[in-house]
Amino acid sequence: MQSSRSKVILNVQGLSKNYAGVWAVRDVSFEVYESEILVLLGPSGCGKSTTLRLLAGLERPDTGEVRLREKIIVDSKMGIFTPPERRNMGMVFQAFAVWPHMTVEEHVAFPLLVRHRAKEEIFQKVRRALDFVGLGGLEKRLSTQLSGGQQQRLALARALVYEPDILLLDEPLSNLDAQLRQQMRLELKNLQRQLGATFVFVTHDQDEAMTLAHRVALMRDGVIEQIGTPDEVYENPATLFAHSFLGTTIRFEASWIEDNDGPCLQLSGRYRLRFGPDGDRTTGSPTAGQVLATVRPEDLQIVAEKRAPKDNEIEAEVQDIINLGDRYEIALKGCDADFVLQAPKRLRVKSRDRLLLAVDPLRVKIWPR
Amino acid sequence: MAAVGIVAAAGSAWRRSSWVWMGLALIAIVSVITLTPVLFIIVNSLNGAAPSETWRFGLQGWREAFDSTRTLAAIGYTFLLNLRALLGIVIAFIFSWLLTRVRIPLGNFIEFSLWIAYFLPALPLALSWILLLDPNYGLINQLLQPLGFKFNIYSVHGIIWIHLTASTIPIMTILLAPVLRQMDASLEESARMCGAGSWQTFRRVLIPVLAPALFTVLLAALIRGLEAFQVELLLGKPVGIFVYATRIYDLIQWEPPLFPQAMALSTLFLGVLFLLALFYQRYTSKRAFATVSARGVSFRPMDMGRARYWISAVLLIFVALAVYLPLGVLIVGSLMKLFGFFNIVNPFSTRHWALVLHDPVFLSAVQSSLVVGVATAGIGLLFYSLVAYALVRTDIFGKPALNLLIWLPWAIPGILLGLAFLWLFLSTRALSVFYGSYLGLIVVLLIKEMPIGVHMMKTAFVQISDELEQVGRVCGANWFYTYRRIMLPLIAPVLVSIFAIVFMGAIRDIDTIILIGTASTRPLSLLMMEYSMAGEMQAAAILGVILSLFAIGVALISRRIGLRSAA
Repeated sequence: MQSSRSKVILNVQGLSKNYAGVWAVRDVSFEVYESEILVLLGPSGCGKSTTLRLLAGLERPDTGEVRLREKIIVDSKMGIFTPPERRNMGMVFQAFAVWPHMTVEEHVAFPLLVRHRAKEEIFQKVRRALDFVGLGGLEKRLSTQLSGGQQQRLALARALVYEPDILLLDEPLSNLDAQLRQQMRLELKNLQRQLGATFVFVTHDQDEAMTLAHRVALMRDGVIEQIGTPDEVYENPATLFAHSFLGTTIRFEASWIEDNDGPCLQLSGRYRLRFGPDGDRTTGSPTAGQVLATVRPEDLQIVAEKRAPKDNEIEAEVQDIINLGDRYEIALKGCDADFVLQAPKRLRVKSRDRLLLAVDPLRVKIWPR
Repeated sequence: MAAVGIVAAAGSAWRRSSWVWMGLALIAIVSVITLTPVLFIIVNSLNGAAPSETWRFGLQGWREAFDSTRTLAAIGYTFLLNLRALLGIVIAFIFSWLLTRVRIPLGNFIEFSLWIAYFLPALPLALSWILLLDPNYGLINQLLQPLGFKFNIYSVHGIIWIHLTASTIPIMTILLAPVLRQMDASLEESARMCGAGSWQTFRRVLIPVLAPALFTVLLAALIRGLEAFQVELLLGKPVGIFVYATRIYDLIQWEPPLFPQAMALSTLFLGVLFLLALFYQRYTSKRAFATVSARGVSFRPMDMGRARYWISAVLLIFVALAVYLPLGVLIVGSLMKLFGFFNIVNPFSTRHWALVLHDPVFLSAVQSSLVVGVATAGIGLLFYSLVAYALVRTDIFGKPALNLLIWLPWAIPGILLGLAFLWLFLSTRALSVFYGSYLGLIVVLLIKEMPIGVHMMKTAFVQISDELEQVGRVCGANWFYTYRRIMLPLIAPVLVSIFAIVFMGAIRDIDTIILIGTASTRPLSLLMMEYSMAGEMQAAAILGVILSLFAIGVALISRRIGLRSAA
């Protein structure tokens, strides 16, 4: 949304990288808009970190072209490769990469020193950057005397002090404990908003992606499966992988049948999902036979009645009830699937009960087997 | 309940006092074997009596030794020759950086070749460089003759060249490569992302971060360099270049030996080396490995495009010069009728091989080498691991003292260690069985190899978390069972490496055992030394080839089983 109004700052075309015969990244193309957070999301080994390192110039791509502000910085065909130090990008590493022999101040001054800035300017900017990340007053500390969270802020200040065109973050929160991670997530987002900076952020954590991203690029096996706002990817996943990687997915085996009321999807041989006249959401025609139907837990409503299921209703047996204090989590088994639903505490259920669940047919996704 | 409590308390009290006794016992053993030679040297330096008389206090030895201009010259040459450490560390650092950070063709082969260089004995390499660069008949010099130019291996730069190529650079590279491997590459990468070019990254990040490691390696090389002896003797003595260590040896070789002078020089030498070793030990123990992060250190070697072939070529030329050229020449030399004389008719012959291989002296030398090598390495493993375990895992009494004593043999040049034990064996009736038997050689070599052996063992124990052992105990296994089933398998690769290093150190040693070895116990290394001193270069070359084959075998084994982890 925001991205559509802004201009493209980084353009990547057909980027590939091969390690010893294995494609770590294969023909990846995308754009990064000014002042957005683009999250590269995917399981480990999907090529997201390699993609980031290719952008940084820490790896040389086998093919592809990268343009930063309309300037070509990588072009495999023309043999152009700008080394990392001349790209004016910033990077925050997973293990923070703070130099053990430098003080906090020296760290942040480093990028300005190598750019031969004036002393006074360096002093001012270092102060401002440290205050900005909340490390003011720790200037003289050795970097190794800082806590994990502080080291991370230091790495951030170091990467931001010279106002790079783009900030690359490689799983920067994964070395922090859970509580700190949540806090830093919000701080990062605020910081980006205040600076109007452009972030490319790599993570395997879908919550992190949902919280931070303006847009998400979902990667698997070196390929971008889908790119879009978190909402788009969540609501309209392009692939089954995208569906199951972002958010929770409940999978049902299903098959298309034709009954008196027309085509419908049959689950477990008895429950029927009917999509109505304009609900033709088929991936493949109704005759495609065996398919996979997926829904999200929030698309299943518990019906507090005891009766036979109608169309767009299924039944499931309660396996376990977990009391979370403010609500229940109910483990269910139905239509050959195991899944967990949230339920309010006023719901009266016990183990082995059969529950009636209403399915929102418009939110069911159908995938070929 | 109460009874159990009392028993437990008594148990822990017993435990505590047993640590004290164990500590005292270990300190006693280690002190005896390390301090005896030191005392021997100091006491004898203060002998003012004539050679045949009994000991009497006097400072003549000190006065005469340090009045001599030759001593001053020796100190000067020692200083000059050891400047090589500075040159060596620069080159070794570049090599190890290239080997660990850049994906280069044949990188593994290059690293393995450096391992071979590390294990190769110095003397045969010196022999083959004589064959190549002797001012009169050296092969390369004959080739260069038309150009009116020649090298002389009998010179300061000749000695430096052999040390640099055969030991200084390979050892330093082998020591630095694992440090670089452990260093998180993102420290360098983040500097480049900040806008620092290669040179600035190198100067402002890489060098300062690695400074402790570089300094440690430099110091270790300096200590070893001061003791270096064989090459200096072989190449320096003929042209009157004496270093401190060969000057001491020279004084002992006089007839009658000038012991007080030699010992006076040795005492000063010991002092200097001891201070260096002390400094080294302090420095390494304090150094925090801040650069090594516990979390998965990952980096991928850089792609350097075409440049990688050039890098590989330079490194290959180095290992070819350092290892394969001298080895090849040595083999050729061993097959010559007359070592170095290529211009006679039919210069090659296998006659010397046949002679040497059938010589009973040779066969008994092989047996000696194997017995001494295997016994030293085997007993060494037991003894070093006991000491190291006590130092790392227990609360024995007197740890700091023990830690320091362990390093003491590093400060004693081999020749002095040998001399002290020779005297000890001959003057003490109970110990006289050691002279003329393998036992004497084994004891001295055990002491000589103790610092490195214990140090590597300690490293191995430290790397294994306490918890792994505790889990074993909690599961109900006793100490010995835990040690056997958990500790030993975990450190097995290191054990193999230490065995290999001690074995090779023992069979190539010359200086330590030269005074103790007798005709019946003489191993290959001593036989080779005798041949080369007697001018029987072909035979010496043959023994050099055989010892080198041992070295390659040992390098192969330890490489296979993973010295990477131990160094």
